[in-house]
Amino acid sequence: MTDVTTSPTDEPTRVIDTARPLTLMWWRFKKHKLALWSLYAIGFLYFVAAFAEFLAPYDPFKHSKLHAYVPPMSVHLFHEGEFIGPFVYGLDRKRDPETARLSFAEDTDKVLPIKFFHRGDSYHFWGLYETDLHLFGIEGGRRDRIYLLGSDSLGRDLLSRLIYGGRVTLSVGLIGVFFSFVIGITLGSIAGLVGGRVDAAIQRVAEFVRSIPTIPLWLGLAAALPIHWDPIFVYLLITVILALIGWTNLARVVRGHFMTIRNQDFVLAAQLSGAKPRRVVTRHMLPSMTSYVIAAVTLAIPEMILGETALSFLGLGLRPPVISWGVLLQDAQNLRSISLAPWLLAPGGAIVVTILAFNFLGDGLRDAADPYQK
Amino acid sequence: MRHSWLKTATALALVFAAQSATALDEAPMLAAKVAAGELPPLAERLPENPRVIAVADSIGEYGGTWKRAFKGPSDRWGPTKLMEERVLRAVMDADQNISYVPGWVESYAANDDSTVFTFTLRKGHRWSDGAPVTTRDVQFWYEDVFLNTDLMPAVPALYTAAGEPMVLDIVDEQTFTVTFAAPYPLFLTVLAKESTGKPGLDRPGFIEPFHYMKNFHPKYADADALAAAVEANGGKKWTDLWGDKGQIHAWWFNPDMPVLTAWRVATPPPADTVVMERNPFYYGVDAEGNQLPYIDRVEHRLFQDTEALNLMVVQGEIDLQQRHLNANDFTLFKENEDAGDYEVVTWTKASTWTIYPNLNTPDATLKALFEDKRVREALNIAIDRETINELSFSGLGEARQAGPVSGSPFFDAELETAGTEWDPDRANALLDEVGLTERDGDGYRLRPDGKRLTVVIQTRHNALLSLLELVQADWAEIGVEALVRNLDRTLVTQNVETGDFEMVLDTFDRSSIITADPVRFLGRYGFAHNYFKWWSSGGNNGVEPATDHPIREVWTAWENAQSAGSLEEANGYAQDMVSVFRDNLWTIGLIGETPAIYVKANDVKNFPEGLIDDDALRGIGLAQAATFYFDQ
Repeated sequence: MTDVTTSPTDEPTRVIDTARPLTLMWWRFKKHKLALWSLYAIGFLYFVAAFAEFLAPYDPFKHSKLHAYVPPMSVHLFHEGEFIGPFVYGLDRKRDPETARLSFAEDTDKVLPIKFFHRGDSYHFWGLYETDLHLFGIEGGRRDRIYLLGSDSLGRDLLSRLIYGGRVTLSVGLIGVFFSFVIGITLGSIAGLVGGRVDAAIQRVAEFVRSIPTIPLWLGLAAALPIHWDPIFVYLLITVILALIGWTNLARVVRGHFMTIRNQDFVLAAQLSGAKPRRVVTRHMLPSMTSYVIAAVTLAIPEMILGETALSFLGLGLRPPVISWGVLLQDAQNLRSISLAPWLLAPGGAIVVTILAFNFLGDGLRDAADPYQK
Repeated sequence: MRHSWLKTATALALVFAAQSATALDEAPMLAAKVAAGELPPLAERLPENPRVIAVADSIGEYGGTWKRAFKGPSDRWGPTKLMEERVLRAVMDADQNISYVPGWVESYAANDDSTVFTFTLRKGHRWSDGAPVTTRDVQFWYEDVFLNTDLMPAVPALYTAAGEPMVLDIVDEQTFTVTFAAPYPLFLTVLAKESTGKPGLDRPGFIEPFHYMKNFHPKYADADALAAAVEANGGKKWTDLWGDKGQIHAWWFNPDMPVLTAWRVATPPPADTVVMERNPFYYGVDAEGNQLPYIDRVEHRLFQDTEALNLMVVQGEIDLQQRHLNANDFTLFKENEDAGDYEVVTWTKASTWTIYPNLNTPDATLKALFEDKRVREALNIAIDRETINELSFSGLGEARQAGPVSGSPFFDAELETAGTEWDPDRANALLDEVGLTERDGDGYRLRPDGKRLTVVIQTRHNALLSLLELVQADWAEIGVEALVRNLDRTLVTQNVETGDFEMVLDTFDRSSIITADPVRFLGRYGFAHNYFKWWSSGGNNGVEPATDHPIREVWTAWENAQSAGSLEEANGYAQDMVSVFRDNLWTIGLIGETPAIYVKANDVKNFPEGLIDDDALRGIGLAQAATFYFDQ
């Protein structure tokens, strides 16, 4: 069996003939190394988001009066030539009386060893039970903290905030994208396949939806939504509404494509073989346009992440104290951060990694789904 | 041959001598126009007794263009404060003592019981188009603007005493008097802030260029011509043309509008670069008799985003500006001083960042809690202001309660520190004492009606969200949940003006000469807006407070101050108002007296350091912008 999965082409006789399409796709996908690694990366990101409380060294809201704008600390292994395992040095804090700038130097007398499975800030794990176990932390006084990615203007640990931010961005943020694609593809393929009155009806609905002016809609919503509601829930609502408005583009493209291919031989062949419409669509027609769909999805994701804060002027988008990558990045979008605390741009790195990973994953999926590929 | 050469040389020498003599008096660009016969000579342009404006450091040089930035056509306050003219103006000396001097009047005087005020205009004073300034202009303002119910449906309260509007009498071409039905000792203080009306230059109060504005007033203008002008401007009634949205009355939009100011607009908005040019008839001179202003032109460049402005600053494209610069960027500006060839000069802001618990909140349970002083005290002392100052203001501000700032004549040291001592234990004890002893699973207290004790803090100040996160953490320690809602300016303003909010974060400003504008103490825009409305509307609007509500003491004190027999007495009542305010601790003041950050190019001179930045003192206007100059 192991032989077969690693090199299906060497033994073409049975296994490949009887393998299910999904298995075939998986085999092809695995050959796309970049896509495979992207899959691992996305898996890792979601793992981190799921176990944020345990993996983040600190409570992301816990500020520290003495630690505003601490640059990322470096981890050392040797102290005065002697190996003592991973540790960081303490901080020596100074404020420039002229410019009010804070500067931090390593206090090389103070060794703060990194401890794994450390007891730190307590939290409710998944709302189930209370614990204070963290993957790592440092031993030291109450005021000593470790900032692997530096700290923000309130002395909060950026790494912890990045980890918690991923939770919102990778879940709520992507729900809208998911919804609009499901709606767009479903309605588009129905319109393209059935045609006639159904098509006309769907097209008119799409035109109507597109003609709704969005700003008055948001204004109305901003006035109607109770101010007590949790901003994350409000944002979820907004993304769903965005999805209800945003499906039309994709539906149009899918419809057009379906109209051109519905009379082609391979579709006819499938229909003549007795395949039900659903099977024709999902097995024969949709795969022929996966490349477009995947490109559109991967482009929509960064838009969604950066758009997280776009409606905040109406009180609808994500705003602090909510932590998301969009919010964190907004913190960094000014000259002050770039010149005084460039590490605040780290969430940008996380977004780039996420987007690239989704992109390559999509690429690999498309190649794997392409029945004509060798 | 030789003879004629000598003659030429003598003539040339005379020309040079004449030029150097006049160069001391007026700007070269004006001297050239005088020489070309386009302008009358300086002596005819200045009043007989011009206003001598003291310079901060040295007598200046003429010329140069002052580059600054503005945010759009509605951002007229920046340009306005540079150059607005008042009946009388506040000036501040090096020891921060505030005094008043005559502005566009030559002198002013009040009678013993502060009911009659006499003003004398400057003889020979001219509008920017050369027309003389006379009491006819004042009369026109009073009779045809101030008392015209189409233009002013309600008489501004600031120009009334005992409910009666002021009465104007014209004595002669230079002299007029203002009479009130009751003593009004604070009238002059109010004039220093408000005498060109609200908002500033575009609705000038007290004086109007009669010779120009009469063309647009139905009482004087030809009806057909006026109707045509109104229609050409897209309006329906003559007031559309006149009002602050119309083009005629707004100096900022209408370059033809005669003004008294040091500069007048040459390229109006919506241009990308708004240009103001010197007014050749400006009535101010320096101690050596040189006509002001020194700087020829002021250019305001349009910017959209604060970051764009910051970039302009860092690249040295701003000569002098404070508006739209944030104290948060102090370090950024400071570190780029050399690169941008400028320096950062700080003044002190006469304001305190304050959270206002709303005594008029629609939620009755919350309202009852806010009315309890113990709750307000608990909320106050639960906050660690030093940490906020350190983290949100880089340690540049001062932890304090809302109230008059240091340097104000009404400063109250006890008020400054009231409720600012960080003591979470006592705060918890106070809330327990109120009866809020029950807590829910997350450790938050329960209100008497069983719901979690939650307050929503609204704010429009994006830059201060981090500050509110600190407050949130501090209040969580005493079992109070704070939810922060960052909203657009219009939304917050609307909520505040209808009293539909629980708490709002805003500045407690106008805190130096509080008698010029005491609304923050009276509850307006803050802790008791609906009570204030009730009081200011004479009971027609708003919400009536309980008969023993202490806010009535504040109002009584202010009413007494307004009708006191003398300025000393009035100031005494104003001080009582501050004391009542202190004893009730209605606000949650956080950090105040933060620096107002001016970025000043190194070649800009005469800009003083360390003044108080306050609306009542007219912001940058306190520094007498006409005396700034470029070291060339």
